[in-house]
Amino acid sequence: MIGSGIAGRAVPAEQSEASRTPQMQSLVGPLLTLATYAIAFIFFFPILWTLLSGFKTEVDAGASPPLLFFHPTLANYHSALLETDYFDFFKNTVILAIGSTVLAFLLGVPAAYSLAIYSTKRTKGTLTWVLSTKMMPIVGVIVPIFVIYRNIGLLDSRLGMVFLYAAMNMPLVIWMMHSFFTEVPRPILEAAGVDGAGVGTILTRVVLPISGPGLASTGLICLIFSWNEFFLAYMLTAGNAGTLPIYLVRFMSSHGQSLASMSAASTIAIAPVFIAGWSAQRALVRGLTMGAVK
Amino acid sequence: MSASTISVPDAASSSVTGRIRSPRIPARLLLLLPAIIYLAVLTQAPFILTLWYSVHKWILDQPDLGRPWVGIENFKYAITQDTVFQQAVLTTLIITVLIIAVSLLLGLGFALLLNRKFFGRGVVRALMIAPFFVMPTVNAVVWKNFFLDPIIGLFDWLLTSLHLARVDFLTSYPKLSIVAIASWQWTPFMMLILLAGLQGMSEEVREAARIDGAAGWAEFRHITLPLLARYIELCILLGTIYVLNLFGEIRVATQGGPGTESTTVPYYVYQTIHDYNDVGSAAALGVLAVVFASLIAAGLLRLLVRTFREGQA
Amino acid sequence: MSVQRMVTRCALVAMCAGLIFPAQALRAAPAHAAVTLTIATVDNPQMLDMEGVTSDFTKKYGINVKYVTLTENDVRAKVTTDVATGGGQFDLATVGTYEVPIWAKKNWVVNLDPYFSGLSAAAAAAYDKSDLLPKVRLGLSYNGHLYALPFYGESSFTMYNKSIFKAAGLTMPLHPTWDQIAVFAKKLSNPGKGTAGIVLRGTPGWGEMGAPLTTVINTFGGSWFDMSWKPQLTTSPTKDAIAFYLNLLKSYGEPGAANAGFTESERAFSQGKGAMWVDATSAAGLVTDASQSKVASQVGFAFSPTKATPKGSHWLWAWSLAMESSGKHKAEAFKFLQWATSKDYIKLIAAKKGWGNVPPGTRLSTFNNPSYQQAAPYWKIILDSMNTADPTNATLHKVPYVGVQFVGIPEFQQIGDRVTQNLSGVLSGGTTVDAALTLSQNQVTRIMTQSGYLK
Repeated sequence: MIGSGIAGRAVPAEQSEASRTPQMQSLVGPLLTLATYAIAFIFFFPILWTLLSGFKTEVDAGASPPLLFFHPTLANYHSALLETDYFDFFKNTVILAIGSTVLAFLLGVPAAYSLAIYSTKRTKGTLTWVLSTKMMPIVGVIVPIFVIYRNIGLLDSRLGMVFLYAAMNMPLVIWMMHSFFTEVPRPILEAAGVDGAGVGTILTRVVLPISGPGLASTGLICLIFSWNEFFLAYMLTAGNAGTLPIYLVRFMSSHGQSLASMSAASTIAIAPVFIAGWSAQRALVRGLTMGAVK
Repeated sequence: MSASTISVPDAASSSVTGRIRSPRIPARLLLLLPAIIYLAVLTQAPFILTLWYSVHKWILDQPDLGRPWVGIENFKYAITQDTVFQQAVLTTLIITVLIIAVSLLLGLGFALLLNRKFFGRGVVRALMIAPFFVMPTVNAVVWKNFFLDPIIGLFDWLLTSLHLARVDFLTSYPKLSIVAIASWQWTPFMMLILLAGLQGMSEEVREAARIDGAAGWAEFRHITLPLLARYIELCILLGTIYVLNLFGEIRVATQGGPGTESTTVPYYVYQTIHDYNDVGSAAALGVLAVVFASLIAAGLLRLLVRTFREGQA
Repeated sequence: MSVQRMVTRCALVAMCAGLIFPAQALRAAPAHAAVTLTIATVDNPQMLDMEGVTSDFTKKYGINVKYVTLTENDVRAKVTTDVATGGGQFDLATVGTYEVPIWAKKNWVVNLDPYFSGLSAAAAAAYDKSDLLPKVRLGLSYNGHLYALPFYGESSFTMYNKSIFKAAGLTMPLHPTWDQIAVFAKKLSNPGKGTAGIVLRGTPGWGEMGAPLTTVINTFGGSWFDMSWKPQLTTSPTKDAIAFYLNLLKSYGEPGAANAGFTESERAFSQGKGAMWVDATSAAGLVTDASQSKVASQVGFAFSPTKATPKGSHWLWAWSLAMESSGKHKAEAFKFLQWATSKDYIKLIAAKKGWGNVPPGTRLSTFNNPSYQQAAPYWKIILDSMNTADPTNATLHKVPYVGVQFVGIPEFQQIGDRVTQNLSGVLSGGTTVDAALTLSQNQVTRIMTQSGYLK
């Protein structure tokens, strides 16, 4: 069809299309919308169900057939929040997520800028190498990290985890920010350069403000990955630096039979990311892609 | 590898930058090196140690055995005799490919649905993104207990309501269960990337295509898909990176079982160090895991890149 | 544009904050004036009860306690790594009768005798070490020195649902055999109604499926190794015992057996989804607790089933607390040890939770307490089981190792984990008994060769 350049041949096809399309579209449109609603609901259902189950009593939560209507109780959320050390884990998670994101930005943004502006023959290779550090399964380095951390006293410490999470997210920061920086119109940079501005000034005064959405979405993705990271936290923390995924696994192991309290604990463990993610979803959609493709 | 296809400035743009390239080379390196050194120290240095450990026998809880040099014996055993490892390689391959494929297809479908104007699109998109925010441990807990559990799970209730035979998903279909759990999480990720790809597509190209008579499937096949190719590559690249390291879901939902059916390479390495305390073997397996990951990533991507380039031409 | 600028500004502020962010705040909280003990614990109800009353200890001694609660498999792995590498993450570790002698030999845990001799006469009398069950004390000693104090002890026995038995017109003997159990399981299994004939552990882990499985191996007359440390997995009667266990579980066991550990089994049985359950005696308090068990008033108790020999048919285990050698606060840790395993502690739990919920199986005085006997009518079966479970004589034929439900060598952790992992594949239908056993035999042979047992 697409190759049919001769108008004469295409006309009959177009006519038949045209005679069908209006009726079909008037039907297809709403149907598709309805289907979209249904799919979205099904897709979201596991989260909704978890949220709801947190308000159930244990007996109701484990009921089969499942209960849609029940007397809600706040007891599970109350006990998951107040009768456990949730806030210790929450505090750790916040510190690790923000600390590691900040560190990844402090080192990654200048590197990305350097790669974008002072492009050389090695740039491509450097970028590939940066990404390849993420290709390496963490299990390939966990043993030495454990041993080294033990020797220098970083085992089960927040500082140690910040270092690792920063390394985990830095490739992403470099890649995404690199793409943002290559988008910065050259004349702007040249004008700033002519004005005699130094590299630091150009970066902070000119480039970063333009790349705001990119920074925001990159940061958000780093936060989410750090917040949810499980393997390193599971292997390297014990009582001091545990994060919410660890909180949840522990809670699960001690309340394995209690579906309702487990749901409440799950909900409060993921809630902060939801709030952040949803409120910034526009930036997320834009950033995830603008940063990486184009 | 793939890097050449995505967002690396091509010759044209670097000639533009050439004009602003500063003669002060130190500034360039000053900005770049801290990150590079940091990454090297935190990722490559431990890997060199992993190599060192991998040629030794070192059982963590038996210090009296010492740490004798064993050469390639750990590798030899893993490759020639360790059927669990061999199976894990296959399982990893299967699970990774399936998760990427399922989440990519679903993600594409969702992205197309969301790329229309309709009432409540913002809310719908928010709902569809949601699973991406859920931490893998919660994800696995929820699926394991509420959906896949053979006694109180919703799927069980659904099946028995329809008078179908009861299925113990995690026991009978452990790999597919993991695929389902992980795909649920990664679909929004794919969807986000593809949606942005669709929205970045110029309406003019589409209009032109419609005038040319391309509609429905033809438009999708010949216009949308080729334009999405780079986004799809990106999905696969990033997806592979994360899915190859899949751990939390397996740890919580199946613990690699039943038997070793859902044991992946990362999970097996984890077991070897965490449960068996065998540092030497774990290190050797870790090295193999790195080799394996590099091969799979490079191979898969090369194949895909070629396919899309041909499709576009 | 204004939104963009705002976002940018926020990002910049965050980055600046990062610059001045005091590195101190990132580090683990430094020790305050009051000492904080870190304890690795297992996620069982008794330990959770302990967490619940720890404020009592803190009030009394001014020492804070931090719990790291993990599953049985995890706690073992985590503590092993910690002690083996001298990580010093924990002051006190929850250990069992398997670990104590092995770790004591390696000086990973602290000999408690010097600490006991340092006690005043009054304190020693109040603690009353001789009140601890003799078999348990033996299991926690190495070279005649005590290295851990028992928090609760257990053997294994048979629990059954009396109403299901009654409805089927069956009677459970006090000393059942595995053959009888198999017949009962077949008769009582009713998948349509969601009732399993028998509930048994099927999830991997030497301390999970490995424990009941090994008692079956023992009572069938088998063993893990012969006198020359040759693995017996593909040899009768060990092979027959394993096949029996797996077939019983596969045919008449609970749904999802391949993922069922103690917790899942307890859930199934106390929901009325199982007619019988052979497991730890410490489950008795749980399944008879009406607040969490639907069958609380329906549970009957019998001894652990036997086959060729009664030897090793029921296990001996004591979850105990030991001080890690690398721990930093030993004096405080010993205070906690004493507190958590004292007679007063048992009374404290009795006062708060009732005598049915006190940690059982550690002290003779508990068994002899009339209130406990009343709250736990099954006490005699437990005491008898614990007194007859002999780790040094648990197999029909002579073996070079000690342990009832485990083999007292460091390698057994890996051996047991791997073999049970393979066997749980049989339960899911992923492999056959023979294939799983052949694979296991090869793996165990490699481990034993590597460690120098086999030439």
